[in-house]
Amino acid sequence: MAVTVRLFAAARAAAGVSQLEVAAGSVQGILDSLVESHPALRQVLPQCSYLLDELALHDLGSQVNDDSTLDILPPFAGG
Amino acid sequence: MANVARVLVTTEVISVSDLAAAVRSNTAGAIVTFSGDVRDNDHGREVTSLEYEAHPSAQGLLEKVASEIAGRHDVLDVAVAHRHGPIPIGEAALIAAVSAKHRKAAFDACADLVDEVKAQIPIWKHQVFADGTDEWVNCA
Repeated sequence: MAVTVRLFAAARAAAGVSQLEVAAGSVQGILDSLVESHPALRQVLPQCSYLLDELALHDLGSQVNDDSTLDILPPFAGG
Repeated sequence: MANVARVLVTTEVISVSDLAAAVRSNTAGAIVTFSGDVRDNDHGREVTSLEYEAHPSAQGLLEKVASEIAGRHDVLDVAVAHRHGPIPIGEAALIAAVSAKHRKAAFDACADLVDEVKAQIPIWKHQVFADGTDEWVNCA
């Protein structure tokens, strides 16, 4: 039982991994723990948007439960 | 409401002629296409290689954007393709094609489609420069 965090593009490059398992908690709490374990994320996260179980997330105070997936998306650069 | 003729997120080569053919019809008097190609320079620096990364939701979101464009312009058919993975310099990363009875609506819808793709689709661009440095675009 854990939360799956998926990191994309610049966030994956900064963390050095594409997927992590973390304990359930608030989005902000999870992000803080990620910065602690992967300090290079500190530069990238303020620019990112987030998906919680594939839905756009606007409140970093939201609770993330076990078995959920939190996606970390850097600024888009398609086209 | 216009028809969404084709939407594609793919690692394969994409072609303007394929997308133009997908929107062609005898009721259309205008076809506008856009090809966003990989160039060998960015902000005055030489780019040697480039790679796009797509989120798993990119295909579904691109379908949604194409439907929105089809719904808000007086056009006939809309098609759009985004390639990801490594793309050689000079090849297309994004192609949009729109047909309409008249050119103005086709130009407007095609430009709107490209703008919306850039703003809404979770795709990222990583480029490597001639001096060996690299960057994720828009993520300085």
